[in-house]
Amino acid sequence: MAEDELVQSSRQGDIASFNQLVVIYQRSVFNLALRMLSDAQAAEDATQETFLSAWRHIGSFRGGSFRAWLLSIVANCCRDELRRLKRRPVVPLADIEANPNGLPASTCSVEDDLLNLELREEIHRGLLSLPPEQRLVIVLSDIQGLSYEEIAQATCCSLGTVKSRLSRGRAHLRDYLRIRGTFAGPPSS
Amino acid sequence: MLRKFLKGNCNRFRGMISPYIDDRITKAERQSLESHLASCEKCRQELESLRTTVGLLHRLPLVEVPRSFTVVETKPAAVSAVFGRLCWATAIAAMVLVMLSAGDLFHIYPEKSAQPSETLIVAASQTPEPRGAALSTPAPTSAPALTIPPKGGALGTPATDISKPSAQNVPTPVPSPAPGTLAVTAPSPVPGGTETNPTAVAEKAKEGYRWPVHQIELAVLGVAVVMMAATIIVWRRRVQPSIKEGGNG
Repeated sequence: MAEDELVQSSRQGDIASFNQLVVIYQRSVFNLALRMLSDAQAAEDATQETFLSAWRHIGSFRGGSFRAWLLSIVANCCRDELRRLKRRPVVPLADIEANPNGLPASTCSVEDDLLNLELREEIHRGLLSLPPEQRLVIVLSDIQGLSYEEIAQATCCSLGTVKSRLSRGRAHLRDYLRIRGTFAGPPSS
Repeated sequence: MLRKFLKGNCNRFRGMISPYIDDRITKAERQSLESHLASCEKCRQELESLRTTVGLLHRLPLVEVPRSFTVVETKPAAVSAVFGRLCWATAIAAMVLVMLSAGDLFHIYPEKSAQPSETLIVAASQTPEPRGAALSTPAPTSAPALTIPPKGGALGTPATDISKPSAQNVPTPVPSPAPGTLAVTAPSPVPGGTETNPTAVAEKAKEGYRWPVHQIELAVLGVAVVMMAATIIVWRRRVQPSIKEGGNG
């Protein structure tokens, strides 16, 4: 069944169709939550909350990209969680010892491991050093592969804002990696 | 001056490099940027470094989900039966509460002060005290002493003289009793007051039990609130779907 038909059936209350959409997009949603929150358990909770919320409010989906709509929900969940963490930062000691960068080490297959682990962790730390809104557009664009229009829909902002956030975010990340010697060349002035 | 001009020019083009990598600039912008890149080493380096960064991000793998996030709905049948009963119970409790409150508001229930039960008719033969003696104990706040009219006045007529008149103490006229009976005021409910006459107790019980309306109202209100809370909880559970815990996939 095509995505549009699945969405239509879901809107009519067919939970089986909705679950097919969940299976298609759960990886994308979970990965965005993980990159934004840098904590596997928090990302799991945000993903769960996203699909529950999507099922409850699927009637309010007014067309466009369903993936972008889902990602806008998870982005809001992550914003709320980041705001909560900013107010009351909690870092479990066991998590730091077991997994310093928050990414679940065992969940990446060997085939997926295109970059070496050290570089991957460095990029992840670089992403975490960015402001959340820049991080969000970079993850959506360069990791998830969304178009500018989909990013604009997911982040509820204009195309111009998406372009400028992406441009500044990439430049910041490049400078971060350059300072840590990940690739050669002086930081841009 | 030329250096400053070139720097300003570079800044203008550098904002276009990121969308240029994604092929999201117009044809005119592309042409002007490419002609600038041909002549500016720094901007070429900027382009290359950003391309490398984007390339690294593209190669970053997606993490597998730890479990399935498919949605399942809670059993509606079992919940709806409980929900229906709770709705009815809440409605009944609310109705009783409304009726009680309305009755209370319009003074349907007898007031304590309007009760004639304070006055009792006691057989004269059962009162050993001499005529004119106070029937109650001499407590300062006790019920008033009774004075028998000197003569001529029928016993039990409202000719009683109350020493401390007040709204509570004013005796209500009673129908004239049979000859040989004495109209007296009931003993005060003050602890340590008059000894209760068994006949008086029986008479008082006969007059009717006054329901504690306010206490009943409060109790019904409490029940209604609890029922309402339970109904809301069950309703929310009924509406909300739950997430199925699953494995990968």
